[in-house]
Amino acid sequence: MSIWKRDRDSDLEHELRAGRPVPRPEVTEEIADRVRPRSGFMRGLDRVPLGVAGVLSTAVVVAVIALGGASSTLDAAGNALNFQNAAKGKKDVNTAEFNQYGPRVFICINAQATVRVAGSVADFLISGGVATSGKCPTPPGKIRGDKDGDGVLDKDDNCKKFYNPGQENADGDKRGDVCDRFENDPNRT
Amino acid sequence: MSKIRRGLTHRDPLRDPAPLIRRVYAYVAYRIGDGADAEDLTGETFARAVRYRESYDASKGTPINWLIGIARRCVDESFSRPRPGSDPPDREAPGDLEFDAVERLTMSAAVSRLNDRERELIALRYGADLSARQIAERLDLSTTAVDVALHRARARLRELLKAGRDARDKPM
Repeated sequence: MSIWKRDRDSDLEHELRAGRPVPRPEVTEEIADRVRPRSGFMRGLDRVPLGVAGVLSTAVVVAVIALGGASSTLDAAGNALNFQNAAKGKKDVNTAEFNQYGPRVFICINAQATVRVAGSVADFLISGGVATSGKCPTPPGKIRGDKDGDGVLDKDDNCKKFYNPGQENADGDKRGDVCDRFENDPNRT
Repeated sequence: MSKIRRGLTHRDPLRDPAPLIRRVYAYVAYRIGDGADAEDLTGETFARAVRYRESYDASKGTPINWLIGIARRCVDESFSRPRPGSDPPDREAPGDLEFDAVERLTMSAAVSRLNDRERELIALRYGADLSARQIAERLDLSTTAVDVALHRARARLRELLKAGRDARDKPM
């Protein structure tokens, strides 16, 4: 390509886009692997379709989880068959969590691992374990004075409703990065 | 109720990671240079994204916007860290490369000679492929200001490329 062609703005833009640096394929794959949920079962739990809950009742039930004090059955793909019953359940510990924090619902597996829901009531990210029935442990969020359950008490927490145990705060203002829209501007939050 | 509705339409921001990885890498590479350091920082960006994926809020922006915010912080932090002899980019000598690759190297070299602000703009626009409007929101500027600044950055880039070409073509 001649230098004369580069003198045109659109050609330079094209070159900048077309010639943008690319990572090595193995690096892309390695990072993608770390980002993806760990197994097919876990990936299945990535999305729980509330609207179709119950429809898949003929599917193979592989597990039962305790959620909101009620039992939910999961089929092979990880769809919660009676999830709606759990979500609208009694005002027990977990239902209270759901009502208070919206996306942050705690479910439990084997009564040992507390599992956070990723992003919303419909999206699950299971951190490990095989789902069976069990009694839920107290979710971290129930610790008095620590709404988001990140181990930092509300009075000292720079994002009271967001889980940020590291309290990252790039601009040093009163809000942490995860709840600061202008995370690099100390004058705006 | 609105939270439930939001939940129903929510998507994991890292659901399709490969294109996001490429865009984040291109952004980082335009900021700090192509090579191992850029790969490390891209990895670090996604490690943080995984840690905080629950806090992603689709109403505040697209997944790439969110990731670029994390990447910017990683890059800024890397600048403030002492760098004990960082690895040179994994590239062959220019003389052994095809013509296009030489052009790309020249482009990389030219981008690396821009000032921080210009590099940031070029990286956001052509590396991360954000729109001028998205950049404006991120940098808290008007869209017009971003367009003007980008125009200036491109003009400077053209000057650098031309100077590089002139120096190369000069008879020994």
